[in-house]
Amino acid sequence: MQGNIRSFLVNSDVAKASRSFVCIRLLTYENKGEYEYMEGILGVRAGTLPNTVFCVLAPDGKTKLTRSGRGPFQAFSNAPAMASSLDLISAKYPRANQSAFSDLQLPLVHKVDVALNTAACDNRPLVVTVAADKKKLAEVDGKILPLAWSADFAGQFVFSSTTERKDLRPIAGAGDASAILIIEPGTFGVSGKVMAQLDAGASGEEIKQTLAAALKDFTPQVKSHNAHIQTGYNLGIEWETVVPESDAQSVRAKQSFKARQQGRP
Amino acid sequence: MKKIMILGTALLLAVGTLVRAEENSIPRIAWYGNLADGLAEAERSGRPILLISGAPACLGVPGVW
Repeated sequence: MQGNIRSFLVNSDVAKASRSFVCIRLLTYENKGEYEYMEGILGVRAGTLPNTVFCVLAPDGKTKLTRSGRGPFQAFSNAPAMASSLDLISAKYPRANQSAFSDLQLPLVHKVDVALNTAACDNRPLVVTVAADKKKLAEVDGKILPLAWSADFAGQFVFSSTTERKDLRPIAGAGDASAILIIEPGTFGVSGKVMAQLDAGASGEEIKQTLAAALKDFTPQVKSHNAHIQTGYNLGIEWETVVPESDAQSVRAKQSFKARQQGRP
Repeated sequence: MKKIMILGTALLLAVGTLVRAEENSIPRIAWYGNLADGLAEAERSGRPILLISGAPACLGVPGVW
């Protein structure tokens, strides 16, 4: 995500204003249905979606409340202006202004591998719940739900759930009986290591204490963008998207970078 | 003097390319990571939607936006 987008989203006033919204962050090329939805929001030709999209929408998910574009910089002059505008927008939706979240589901990234990468990009710890079937998984997720949306933890973790224990293969230290794993993502988000893990019988208080300790222990990495990409290429680490990347500028930059790496003009 | 200028330039370049490690305690946006769950919650709660999308890879390398 471009630095100018990031500067809006890490602003603390924007984060506070966002509490009155349902915040949805999609991964541009990881789901075909979501890709097509964003094409509609942006109003671009099929198969030409850029790698970033931004819009504020009514609760129906269709009515635009701001101009849509590649980032918040196309709708707001700066982060404080964005925060003020979000407050004005949410004031028109009386049900939006609650003192606390009351969401009924975890904010999940559906696939564990994608969640691991997302956590690495965000520089945040990842929480993965795992159980043998959907019923048991719902029970585990239900224990975490109030904590995930609590003032202490909302926005601090990336979440994912699975009924497939094989999804945990990239994660070092995952125990066979663990139902809740708190994971430190590796630099490139293709591996991770367990910081803490609990079984399905853990109490809400135990989970709360474990999350708090993990958050305290977690050390966000300092990454140099250019060095990260260079090292990634040197190590042969490349992310394969579900939908082919369709941002012409990004595709050209990638081809140019690869050509330079291979010593061609 | 030349050495100081080179050092200063190198330092500026380094600072310019670092992705700053952030504090753990700062407020952050709580993102739904998929469309279906986010839209369902917006419909249920009547809250408007802050939508953004990004690719979790830069020039094909994962781990950075």
